[in-house]
Amino acid sequence: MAFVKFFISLIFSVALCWLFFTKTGPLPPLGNFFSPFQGFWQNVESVKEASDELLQFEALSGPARILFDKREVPHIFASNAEDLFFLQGYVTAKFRLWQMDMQARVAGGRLSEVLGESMLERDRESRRLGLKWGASRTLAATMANPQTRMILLRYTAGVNAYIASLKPKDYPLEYKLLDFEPEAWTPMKTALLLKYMSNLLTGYDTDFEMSNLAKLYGFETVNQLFPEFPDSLSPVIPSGNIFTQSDTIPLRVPTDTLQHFAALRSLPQSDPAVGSNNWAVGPSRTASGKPILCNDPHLSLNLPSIWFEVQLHCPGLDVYGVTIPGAPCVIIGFNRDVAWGITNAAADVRDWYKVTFRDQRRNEYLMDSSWKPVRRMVESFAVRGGEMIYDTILFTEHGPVSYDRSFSKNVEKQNMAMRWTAHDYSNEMFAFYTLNKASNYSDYLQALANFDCPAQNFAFAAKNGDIAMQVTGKLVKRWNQQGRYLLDGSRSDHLWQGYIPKTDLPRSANPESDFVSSANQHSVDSLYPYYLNGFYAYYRNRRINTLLARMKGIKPADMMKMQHDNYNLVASEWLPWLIQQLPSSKLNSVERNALQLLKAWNYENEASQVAPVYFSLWLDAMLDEIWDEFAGKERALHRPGKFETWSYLRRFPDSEFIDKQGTAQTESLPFITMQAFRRAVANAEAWKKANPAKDLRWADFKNTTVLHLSQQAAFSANGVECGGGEDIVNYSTTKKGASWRMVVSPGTEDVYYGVYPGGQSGNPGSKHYTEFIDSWAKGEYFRLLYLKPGETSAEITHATIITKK
Amino acid sequence: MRRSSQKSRLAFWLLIGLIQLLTIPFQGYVGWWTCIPIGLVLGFVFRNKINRPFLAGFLALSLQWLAYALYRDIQNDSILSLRISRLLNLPESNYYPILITGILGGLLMGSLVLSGYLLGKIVAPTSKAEYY
Repeated sequence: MAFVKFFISLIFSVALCWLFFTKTGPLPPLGNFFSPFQGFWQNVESVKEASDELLQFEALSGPARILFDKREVPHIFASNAEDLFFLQGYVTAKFRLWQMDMQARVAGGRLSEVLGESMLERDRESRRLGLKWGASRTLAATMANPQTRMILLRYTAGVNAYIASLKPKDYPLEYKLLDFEPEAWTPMKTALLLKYMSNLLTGYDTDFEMSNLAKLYGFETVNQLFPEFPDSLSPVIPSGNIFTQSDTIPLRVPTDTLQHFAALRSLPQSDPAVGSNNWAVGPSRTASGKPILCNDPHLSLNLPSIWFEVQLHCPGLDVYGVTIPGAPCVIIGFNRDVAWGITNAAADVRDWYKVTFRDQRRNEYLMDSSWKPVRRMVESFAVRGGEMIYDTILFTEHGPVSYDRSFSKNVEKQNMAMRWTAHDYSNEMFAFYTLNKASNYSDYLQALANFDCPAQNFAFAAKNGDIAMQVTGKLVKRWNQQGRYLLDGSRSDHLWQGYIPKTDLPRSANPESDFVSSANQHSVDSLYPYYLNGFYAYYRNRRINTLLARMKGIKPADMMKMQHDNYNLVASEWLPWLIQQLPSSKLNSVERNALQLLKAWNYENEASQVAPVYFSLWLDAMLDEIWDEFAGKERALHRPGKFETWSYLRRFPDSEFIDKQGTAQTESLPFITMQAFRRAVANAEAWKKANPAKDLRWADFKNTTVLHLSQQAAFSANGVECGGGEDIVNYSTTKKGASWRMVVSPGTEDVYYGVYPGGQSGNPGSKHYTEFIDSWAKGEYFRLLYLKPGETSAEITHATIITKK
Repeated sequence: MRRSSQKSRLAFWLLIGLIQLLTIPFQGYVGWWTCIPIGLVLGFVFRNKINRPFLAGFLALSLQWLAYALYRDIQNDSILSLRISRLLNLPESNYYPILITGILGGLLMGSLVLSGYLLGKIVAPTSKAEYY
């Protein structure tokens, strides 16, 4: 009997210990996670202000100090650049280590190593898109420049000094939850993070979809649906600007029409809707007589935030702004003399080529009339709880053959090679470093000459009153429509034949209007001497330019208000027309009420309004009705967006696309408008039923969420109350929005404002984790504390004093 | 319990005290897993002195973990515990993570002390003399 009792007790103990030590399904090891001596209880931070700290590093050459303000922004003062970047690495890791690690793993294809086999396909895809390969080239370029080499090595040493100081109980919470350990930081990881951003901003194309469209409907229809230069363009560099063309070497242009390949399904890709706004207003338009620069990059809203705010100071460098955790220097910000802001140029810098292999062995591919050798690269994947997986990636002169018989991802075993500027040898870090140190317009131009990928619109303002905008990056010199469709990998005239010289990049400095702006729209009008293809936006830019053109005596508060402009230009154009189409006599009472709301609407997408809900549902349903031809097809097709549809219907009111497929009768516009309206109202009613506790309001319907990188709702900010919307200056959707709002006036003491939807700390157990979200949602800004060396401020709550060991 | 209840009650509290004395520094400097040998050994040693080994172990560590978790939670204004309770799909309350922490600690030490105790009963049975 005693033996049986013992045996039962032993089994229970062993099972319990096993659960305490081992990750079981989604459960972390219970002991490691719940033990208050080691687990998540060790990650709680006192809500009292942190106290001063003394640190000693052998790796430091002089004394330094880091002052933390009440928002936990570090102001790093170092004796030289070597120490400064060491400390930037150290302090960033202290707040964001897990995030840096994970985002480098995403780009490097190393998620399955810590998360298991479910991530393997995603990892293979990252490698096959060539992110790691591109990162190794960026790394080589960065290490070849003595300045960026120093910066990167010192930053890496700083991150590693922090990691070395950690005991397992100090590991960020997510490590304990997912049960893995931080590993040493490397310069390659920083390069991978830069590729992560490049992929986010330029990892999008419609080559397959457009080719399919052309195959189905012909080039003429495609050009009608997607005109290269539609009306009401309002490009980044305004019409009338004089462009230069220093490169006159003619392109080898194919004389035959493009050949197309049928039955291609869609490819996974980044979201096209990552956009941004930036603008600068010159002295004649501001109350202070100094320029004002504004920027709000729209990205996925995540916790920990994609940005980390910091001030960096050493002799020769004094800069404030937001940084990407894991990468040195400031990405968007200002110094004493200048300020700059960034939006995506939305340029097409990624093309697909169909490769013709000689035979099944795939050792050679066709180029013109000869066979060229294929290179191979074997990629290995350590899979948690599984065996090592190997994947052989073929390379042609274009780049990696991402999709082939061993990785088809819905592309039917076609051999698709990719050419992408993100794969090239480039040193963006040097561009940011020199921009951080810039003191005038010519410094800005020089800095940007080193910036290749992702192509961006850089807005600029200097204290002497200069303002400027440049579409910046390595832009492909293309023949007409090259890269708009899938290209033939066996023809040399389909290869990229060069890049637009940096001196010819579209730019505008101190224009007569005395403002510059960009919002992911067309870079230029048709007078630009080079062909550009892109994925352009059509609404925010027009609204911004309309507002700026009539503003005078601008104060920072006016700019803040403008960043929160909720005017729905889409609705102002579409809605009167939609209402006109609607035969109102046939409506039931619910529909009549909805229509009344829409008729009375002022087109403002405010949080508490109901009309934006009906409008967005109606327009979505309308687009579905019109483009029903494109849905559910075997092949992927690129559907015209709101603007393209609007413009198309103006030009082709009797288009065959309006008629619904598979019905006996011919549907008219009023008929499908009615159908769409009925569906919109029904969807709104369904939402009400599904959310009985909520009122039908725009903010609740849109349900903006700042999502934790692990997708855990518990660590996210859900249902953030804010207005705005897609294609609205105050850009805001369920998962995306202004990831940083900045309003600064170079040359005006203390006019530095900013806010981002997150908090400095990446620790869900810190009061600084979601600290800024409420202010961000309410449209408030923080005055950014831009300290001079030796200056103190009542806002400084604690300091870290660092000495050499 | 009947025959030497006072003595056994004393041993019961002595055991709880000993567990605290040993596990606090060992968990702090080495890790929670040091509770495993400590629990087993103490259970074995106390095999003849107590009647409720599981309860002693359970109370010892659950109270310790509860108290420590509560202390951390107060410092933190429950910022993290509320998130953890949501993570565990529990109603949002800081008490659930604290309670779960206590129960887990208790189950661990209780079962270990009991196992050590029962092992002791098998390999080194009680000499009769100890009952008198």
